[in-house]
Amino acid sequence: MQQHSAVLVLEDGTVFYGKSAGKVGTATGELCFNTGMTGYQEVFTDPSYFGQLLVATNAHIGNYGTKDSEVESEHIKISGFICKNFTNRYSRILADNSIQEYFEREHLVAISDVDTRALVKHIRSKGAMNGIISSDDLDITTLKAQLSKVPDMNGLELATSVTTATAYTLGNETARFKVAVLDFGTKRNIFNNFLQRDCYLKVFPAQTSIEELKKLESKWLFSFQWTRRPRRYGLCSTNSESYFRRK
Amino acid sequence: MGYAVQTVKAILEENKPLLGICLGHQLLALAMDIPTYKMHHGHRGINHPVKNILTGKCEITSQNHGFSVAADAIAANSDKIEITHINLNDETIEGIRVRHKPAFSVQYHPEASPGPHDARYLFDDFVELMNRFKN
Repeated sequence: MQQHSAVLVLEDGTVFYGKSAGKVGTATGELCFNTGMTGYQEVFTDPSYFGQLLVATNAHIGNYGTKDSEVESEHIKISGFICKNFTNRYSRILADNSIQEYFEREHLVAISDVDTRALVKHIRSKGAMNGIISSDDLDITTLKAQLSKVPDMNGLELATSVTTATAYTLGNETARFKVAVLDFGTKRNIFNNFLQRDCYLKVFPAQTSIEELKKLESKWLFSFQWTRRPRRYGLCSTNSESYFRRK
Repeated sequence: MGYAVQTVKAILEENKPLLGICLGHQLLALAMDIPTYKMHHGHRGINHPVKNILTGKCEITSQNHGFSVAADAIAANSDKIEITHINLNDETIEGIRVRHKPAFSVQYHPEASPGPHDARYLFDDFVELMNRFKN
């Protein structure tokens, strides 16, 4: 794998150099770090990371490849990725792709060979901040100008970017419980945990009104009287806390 | 996100079993007039120790959040809302339940994925809650 130079610039002006990985390009977002030793693909596809530049503290990324079924949503949700060692050589027999192929397919810009320990210690002492990574433009001045236009996470409403466009159902209609899910960027395994517990799910867009949810009761639960409280009805509002911004 | 806070308030009024996860946890807090704040650098990883105050047991959790709910506001509203889980690294709030309502929430990810399955009992708790409130 041939890698050329890439750069990471932080909001406070700190610069880290590394090598290009994934798609060649430029990406911006709030820098955050995940300390998990495994599970990188689930993290990439977790809707909670929408709009964030993810730093992996684990030093080795890619060594077990990627598997199409091990995702928490349909596509990668992070805006860019930063790591130390990035490899295309994977040892898992069940893997479908190398991480490079996966990133290219998902159009994800990444940078490797960064001193991630120094970077994470920097964020830990200075706090979360925006950043920009680039492998097609290494000019710090233009990157800084571009970075200054990235909005602060605090105050952003991102849930509507990751919620479902239309309502849909999951599971068996004859299940014991009927659960309405308000989707603010729900991970697939939250659904799975309900399905495993004999629940039938109806997933609603984030902005669904209470009136709409109330309609569900009579339609779904065949109440004998409108005023009667429906049976076995629950509501789960989930996830994507980083979408929630309030000043 | 005011729209979602209004929806959660309305759901609470309906007395329906309600489980909030992550952002859902913050929405439940906001619906109870507990403010949220942006953390210094958040919690992201799969080995965050959380103590369940109700059982006294510790669980290792999967987390991803950059905001948190305000502990002092919960203390000031302890007649309405109760802390159920705290983070053992920095003592931030990781779980709450609403008094006299079938509603609870956690800041972390009980489904894990990736991460240990210590907290999956919360889905069982929610099923049990739906069972109890089936009428």
